[in-house]
Amino acid sequence: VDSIKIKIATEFSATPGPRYIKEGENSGELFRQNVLLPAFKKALSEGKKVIVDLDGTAGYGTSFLEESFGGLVRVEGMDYQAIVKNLLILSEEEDFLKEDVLFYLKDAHEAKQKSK
Amino acid sequence: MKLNKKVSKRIFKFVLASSLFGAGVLIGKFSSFSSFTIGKEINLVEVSSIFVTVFAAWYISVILEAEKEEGRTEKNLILKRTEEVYQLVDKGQQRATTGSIPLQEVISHLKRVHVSLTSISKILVQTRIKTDETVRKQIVENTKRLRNLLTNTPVAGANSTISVTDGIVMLSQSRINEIESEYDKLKDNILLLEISINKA
Repeated sequence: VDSIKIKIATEFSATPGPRYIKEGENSGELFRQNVLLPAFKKALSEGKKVIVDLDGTAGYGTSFLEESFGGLVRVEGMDYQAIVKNLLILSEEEDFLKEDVLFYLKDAHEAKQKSK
Repeated sequence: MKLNKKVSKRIFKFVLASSLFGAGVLIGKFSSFSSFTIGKEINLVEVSSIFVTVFAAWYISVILEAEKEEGRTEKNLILKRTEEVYQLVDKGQQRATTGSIPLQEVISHLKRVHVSLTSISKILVQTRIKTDETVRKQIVENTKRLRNLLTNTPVAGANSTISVTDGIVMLSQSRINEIESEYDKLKDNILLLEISINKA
């Protein structure tokens, strides 16, 4: 299966920042709006996967990742199953982040289900 | 200078061996033990037994001792690295208690701690030094909890004990207390890991 690859360190920032744009530079909200969401929309329409490479940055705060990935479901209203099915996370330096990202997606999905 | 030392060491060994041999010959010549007889035949089984004993003595004293020394050196190097991580964690704790830290500093500090601890775990596996698995798992949990406590700001509208303004993390006193407690647990576990490495 073809894929769209995003390396955050080179295609967004080597120093990912806070959750919201108003909180500081290189936020998760900005990453989601400018990079992640367009990539997902394109990938889903073309039947491709999205590969996100987390390595090579100075590190990630919990909020950045939660807003980027959880925000796809919570804010952008994307389908949880479609995201999980088409997402591949690469993280050699901090391997637990792969699990964390999936948890944020699931958590956002469950919260959305409850609020219905 | 080094060569002279080597030569004099050899001379000393030669003199010692000659003296012991001479002493043996003299004792044999001038003493008589009524209850002992000196046989003139050589028993091959006994000779091989002597060789095996001498080899075993040499193996234990030289080879095993060298292996033990090598293991000790490896442990000391890993302990030194672990102590550096302990100091890094301690420094992070001191910064967190100020209640106001740049987010980038927090994030890179947490990554450095995680990467260093992961690297120590890999080295322990490579060098076959067996340590307490539970402690290592607890350390991973401690770092995950610290990451949440230090960088998990709430979604818009929710009240929280943490906020970020202009890239600076602001912590309430209750949040600082939680962070301090988690740092203490992490430091305790790193110390337990050091003890476990030392005992291995």
